[in-house]
Amino acid sequence: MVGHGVPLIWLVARASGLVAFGLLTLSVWLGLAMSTRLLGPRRQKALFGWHRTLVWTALWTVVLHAVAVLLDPVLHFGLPALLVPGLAPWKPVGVAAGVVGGWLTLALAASFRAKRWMGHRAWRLLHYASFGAFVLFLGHALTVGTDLKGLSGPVLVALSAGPVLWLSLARILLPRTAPRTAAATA
Amino acid sequence: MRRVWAAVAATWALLAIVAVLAWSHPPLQSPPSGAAQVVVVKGKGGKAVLLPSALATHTTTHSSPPPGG
Repeated sequence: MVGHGVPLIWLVARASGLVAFGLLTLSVWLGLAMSTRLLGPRRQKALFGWHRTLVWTALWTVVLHAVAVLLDPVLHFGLPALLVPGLAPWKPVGVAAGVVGGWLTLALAASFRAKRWMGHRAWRLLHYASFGAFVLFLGHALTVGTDLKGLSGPVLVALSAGPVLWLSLARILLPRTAPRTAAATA
Repeated sequence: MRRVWAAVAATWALLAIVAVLAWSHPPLQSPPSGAAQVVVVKGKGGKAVLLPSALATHTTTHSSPPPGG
């Protein structure tokens, strides 16, 4: 127990969920920024390394979140409820969004290591699932998260999804390759 | 090295949020000491009677438990 009699494991569960969402949001921002080449073509390799590291760190934080929820004495979540979508005894739809998002994150993190084996095209197609994972985690946070009631929910949506929307539009509308210089084309 | 930095930053963020959540959690509400408090007791004929709590220290009625407690 800490503070005013709140179990520490419950605080860890909430904090790890928020940190995991923050890390995944950063990873999505970075991935989109790389895709649009807004941060310049020279740093792509270093940015890709950070992108990969952020996904793996987020995945471990998701695992910590799940373990903390499992150990919480009030929620009574069993291991099947945390692994299989829809089995949760409390808010099954919202929890299922988090479970599916977690599995998608595992697939995305693993795909970095399997890129050579699966090929660039398949890896890229699988990477579109990161949008789905982001939306699922956002829905999970808004429906299940106890710290996002009231104004903090819309603030989280604006801060996290706003840049994702803006970068996605930039990704679609901007040309993929940098325009050639006049000297090169002449 | 990048992984170490990410792990350290995530751990610090986690600890900071735990601290904020623990600090910001509202305590169970107890009536302010200066406020007037009353106890409801059943008087003659089953009528409810309000007594100042200072005068009702020896009554056997139970006050309602705090929310969640």
